[in-house]
Amino acid sequence: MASVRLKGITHRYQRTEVLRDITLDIEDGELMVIVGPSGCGKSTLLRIIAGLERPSGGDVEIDGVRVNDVEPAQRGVAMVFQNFALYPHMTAAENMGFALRNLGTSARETDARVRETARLLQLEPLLDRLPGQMSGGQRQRVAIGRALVRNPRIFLFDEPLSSLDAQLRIEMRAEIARLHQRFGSTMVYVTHDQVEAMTLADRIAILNAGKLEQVGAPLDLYRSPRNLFVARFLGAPRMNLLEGELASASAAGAEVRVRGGPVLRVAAIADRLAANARVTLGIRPEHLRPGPSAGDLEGQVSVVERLGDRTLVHLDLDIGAEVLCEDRGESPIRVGERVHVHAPAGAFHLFDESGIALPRIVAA
Amino acid sequence: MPVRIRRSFRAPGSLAAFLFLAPFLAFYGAFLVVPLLLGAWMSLHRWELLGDLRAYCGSGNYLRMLRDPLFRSSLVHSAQFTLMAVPTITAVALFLALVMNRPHRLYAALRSIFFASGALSVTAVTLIWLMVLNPSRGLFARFMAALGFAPVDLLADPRLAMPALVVTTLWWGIGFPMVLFLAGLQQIPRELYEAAKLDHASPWTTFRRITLPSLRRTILLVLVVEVILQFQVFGQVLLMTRGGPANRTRVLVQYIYETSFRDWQVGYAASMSMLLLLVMSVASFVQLRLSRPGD
Repeated sequence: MASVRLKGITHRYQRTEVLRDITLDIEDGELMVIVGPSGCGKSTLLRIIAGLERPSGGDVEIDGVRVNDVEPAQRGVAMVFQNFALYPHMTAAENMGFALRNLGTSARETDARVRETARLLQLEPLLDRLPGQMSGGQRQRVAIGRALVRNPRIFLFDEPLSSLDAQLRIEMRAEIARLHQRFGSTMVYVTHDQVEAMTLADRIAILNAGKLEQVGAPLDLYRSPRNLFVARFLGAPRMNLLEGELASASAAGAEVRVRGGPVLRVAAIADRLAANARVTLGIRPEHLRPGPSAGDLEGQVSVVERLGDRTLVHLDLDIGAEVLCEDRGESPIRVGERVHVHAPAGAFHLFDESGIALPRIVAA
Repeated sequence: MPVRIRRSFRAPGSLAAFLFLAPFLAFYGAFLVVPLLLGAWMSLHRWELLGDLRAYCGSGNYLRMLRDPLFRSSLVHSAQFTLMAVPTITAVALFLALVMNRPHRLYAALRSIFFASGALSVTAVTLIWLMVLNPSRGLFARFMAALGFAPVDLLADPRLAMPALVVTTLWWGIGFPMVLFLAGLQQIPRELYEAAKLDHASPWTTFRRITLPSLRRTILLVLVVEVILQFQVFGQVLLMTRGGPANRTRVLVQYIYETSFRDWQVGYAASMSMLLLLVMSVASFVQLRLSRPGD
């Protein structure tokens, strides 16, 4: 186990800057998920930790030792690749034992350690199979086994579940979580899937266009996104956004005039903004409750998605915006109906013109 | 009734397919199938190039091959040449491909240079190499002189003439197998090398355990293509050594050519060509069998 510290990491490919001044501490035994949209630089960051790529600037430290000039094999990291990267002409056992053999471990000890890991991951029946003779899930387990057998200081996962089907993804996610609990290893996990990030992470680092947007525990980020990007990125379905301007602000809260619509009360401190400043109001679908009357906003139902435990209602508001709200599973709402929606002041998020979140007033 | 309806629908389609195939079939038949059958037919006859002799002799020509020392020696020389040239070309092409498989303009230029020699005709290639190997003024003689050795006439030396032909052929034909290997190398996922790096694999282990097994099919293809090509060696031999010194480089195709066009014994030459065809067919068959998907 080990801690990882990234200090001011920048990286460029020719003239394109893919990582900008990334500073991130990953604690010993922590499962850190780096999440962001495609092309945000998250895999590059992981490869920099692995030593497969050299950063253009900044330092990588493992257990307080600068490792910029240390070869990948000497860093004590093991990586699970997106497409597994199993050696196609080696059996599962040979794949798993390859690193140990290269380190000069005896054939007997390698075999013993491979079998022990295989037992742990229920891979024993597959040990003599070639990767081409295994299913995607089995290959994934072998790839994890290959990482595990070396007993590395740090595990790196590069979108390891992206090529699996939905059901298998859920199973493997739980498997990785179990492994982390069992071994308490330091893990850095890269994904573009915010559900994976939310379910697996001790902490999440959100990356956007090479910049670290926010780092924190999953629920902290979900409840208190620092900016519009984080607010929109975390949560499925996404947070609704409404444009408006500040009507009034005080220590007790703010009032926002939604563009073309009513004034809504928001439990946020906005007194640093000028009167009538342009703001964005954010509200998660689960906080926006539909009803037949007496709501803040009114509109016509365009789509109803019935998921069993809940119903997602797409609404074309009279003020010209579209919002998504959640109702109970047995919702009577139908397409074409007129519906009112309402949310408590404490459920709103408020962002200034540059997309930065304003402090929320937490109810005592 | 339904059968008849289906036939009436199929007929125009078949005709169209046949019409599309017809030009190819005409050429294929006229220039490949007919000459092949004619060759097989001729091989069963004593058949002179000029004149009227067309006497059926059954397996006579084939039995004659067994007794003919010149045929045997030319077959051995072709085999020797193939055994020397094919592994050398394969190994050097693989080495060059490994070196050139880098994303830099310099390597792109070098790849083009190595491939360019293959575009030259055999006449140009042999002319260049006759100059290089010239014992009095050639590059090789000067190189030997610089090292303090007496100049050697490689092409006149019974032991060195064949290796000299192999070197010429290597220079001429290295481009194509190199490109095949480059294509093969570029098919190997980068992640495998990265995984190997993390798995403490040395460059040699990486080559032996990752690159070579991943190139298995390409290596096989190159070996078979080269066996087929090099077993038919002719132009270089005819232009550089004429089969000498002391018949030590007289190869099978040269012997077929001489039997046919110098000695006019087309029937006997045809039977030797049939044997050559058999060797090529075996090589192709081996390649097809071994490169079947899933193997």
